[in-house]
Amino acid sequence: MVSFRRVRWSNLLERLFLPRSFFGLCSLRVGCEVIVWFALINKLSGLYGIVSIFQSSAVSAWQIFMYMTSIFTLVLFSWLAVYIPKDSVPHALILFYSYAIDFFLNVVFTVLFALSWFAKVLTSSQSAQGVPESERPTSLWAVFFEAESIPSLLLLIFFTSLKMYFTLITLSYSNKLIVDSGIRPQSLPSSFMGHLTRILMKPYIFAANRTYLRNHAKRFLENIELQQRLMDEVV
Amino acid sequence: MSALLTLKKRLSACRRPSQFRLETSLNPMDTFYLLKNTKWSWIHLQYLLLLGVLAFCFAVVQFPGFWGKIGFTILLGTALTVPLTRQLFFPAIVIITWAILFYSCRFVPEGWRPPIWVRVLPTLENILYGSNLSDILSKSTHSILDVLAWLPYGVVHYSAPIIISFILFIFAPPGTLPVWARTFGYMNLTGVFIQMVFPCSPPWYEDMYGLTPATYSIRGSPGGLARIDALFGTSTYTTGFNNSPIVFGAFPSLHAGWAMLEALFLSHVFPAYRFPFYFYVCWLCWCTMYLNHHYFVDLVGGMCLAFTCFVIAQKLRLPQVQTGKILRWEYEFVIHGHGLSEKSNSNMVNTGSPYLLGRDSFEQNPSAVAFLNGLNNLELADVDHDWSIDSSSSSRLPSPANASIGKGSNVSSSIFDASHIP
Repeated sequence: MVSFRRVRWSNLLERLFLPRSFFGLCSLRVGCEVIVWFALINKLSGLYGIVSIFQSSAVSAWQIFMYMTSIFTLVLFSWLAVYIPKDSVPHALILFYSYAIDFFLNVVFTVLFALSWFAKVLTSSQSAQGVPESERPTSLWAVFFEAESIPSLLLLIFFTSLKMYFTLITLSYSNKLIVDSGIRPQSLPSSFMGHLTRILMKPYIFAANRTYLRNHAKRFLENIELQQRLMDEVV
Repeated sequence: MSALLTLKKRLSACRRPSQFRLETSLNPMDTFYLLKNTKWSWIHLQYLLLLGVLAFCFAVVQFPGFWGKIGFTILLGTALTVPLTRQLFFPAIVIITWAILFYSCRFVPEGWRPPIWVRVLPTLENILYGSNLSDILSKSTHSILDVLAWLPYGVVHYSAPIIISFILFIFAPPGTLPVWARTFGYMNLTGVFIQMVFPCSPPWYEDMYGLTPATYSIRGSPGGLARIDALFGTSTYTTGFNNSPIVFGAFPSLHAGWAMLEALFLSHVFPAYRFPFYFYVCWLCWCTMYLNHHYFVDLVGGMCLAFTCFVIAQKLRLPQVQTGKILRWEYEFVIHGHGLSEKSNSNMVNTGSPYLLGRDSFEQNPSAVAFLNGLNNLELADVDHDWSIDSSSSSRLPSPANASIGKGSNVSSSIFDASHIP
């Protein structure tokens, strides 16, 4: 008879959302180094974006906002890139939070710019004069297909899922650093970095309490009730 | 400046015999002896891969004809077996394979080649980075900007690998140059492979032919460099790009890849000057977009490819630079790879997974390195032999070099004299 143990959701979630190595190839620290540098390289677009704003005519507010956030993230990640290989806990925490925010911003920008780009592609093809009447693609789908949008969309989805996986890697790296270093909020120094770490550590400790202490406490109480019932029967 | 002041002391310290000697024998049997005693492991599969690529090129290339190719193979074979040339050509075999694959792209029949993507890169650039950066940056052109863009793109780019090889040989720990050669070769090999499998049209195609589907019969174009040819009255870039083997190799941009890899290796050896190196990378990225050769997506792809290759090389094999040492001949010992030797407490390692590359903390193994550094400093300080009675007395500290050489060090030999070799 196969006995199924009660599903421990915390372990399931941990195994799913806290990978223990970077693509199974290298440790989380090396993975976080790669992630910081990839984000750094992508954020260079902020520099060239600002330069291109001066030279181009049609500039939308969203583009300016994106280039501003890119430059800020560029500075932040170049500062983090120095400390990530040194296993410092506050910087790993800052990395996770900033990368999560950056991921959401990225998704918003990608969706926004994708809609505006494909709208432009579809409208511009309707008014195209150069192409003779017969060759002009008839249906909307033909235009969409001819603009090679399928591979572009696939690549966009691939890059977005890659960034989501990177966010999980930074989360599990910061979590592992906290667990391995055995830092306690009360033992943190009262400097600015100490306060910042204490604040940023709150969700981690809350999650840990939810998963570990809850199970142990209940099992302990069950044992006590069991012993009392046995004692009553004996007596 | 402090480095120059201590140069005399460093140079005199370099007269010690060291274990990192250059091969000078011409006897191929040494190579076969080494081959027989090699402890084979998975890492040696890379040479099978290179052999496969070379075989493919041998089959595809038509111009130098059959006997020309056979002659080249014989030349390469002798260069690899004679120890004097083996030490240079063996790490460089990856670069040779890349160069041959790059050259043979012209002879690959059209039937084998995938369709050329024309609109994917502009779409990605507009969606991922807001606006078409490369188009805007290349709009307003000026002769001063042309020369500014031509310097890194046309001149420094092609000469930098050679110069950096010499720099790494002299100022980096022994063993850095082969790692640089292999990383450079594998990055280019991967880049060319991606360009063959995922051909994309560069921005100059969009300007010349619009976004119409491309065919392989179209010849390359120098893009903005045509203005340089007009400015200087030369035609090197026009002819060069017209018959370049890969016309539609926009993604990943190997210009950005080379610049990033060079910047990473140089900032590994000279961490104090890393900002000028990274400024060169940004400058070159602007040049490629200004000269209409790449979209910004290609530059990001090239830089990410370069960084990935660098991280793999650094974590696995790149020798660690030791503080206080500048010249190659000062290194008594070398630790290969970063973060390999320390105990790693991540539970991935406890599971005994063979693939784990790095450890968690960055420092070398403090105790061993500190002891050996101390040993070296004592020897460095003892250069004027004021601690020993005479130069050949055995009271000198037993360093690994002495043990392996077994002959008293000859004080009068200069750096480049190989007299300490038996």
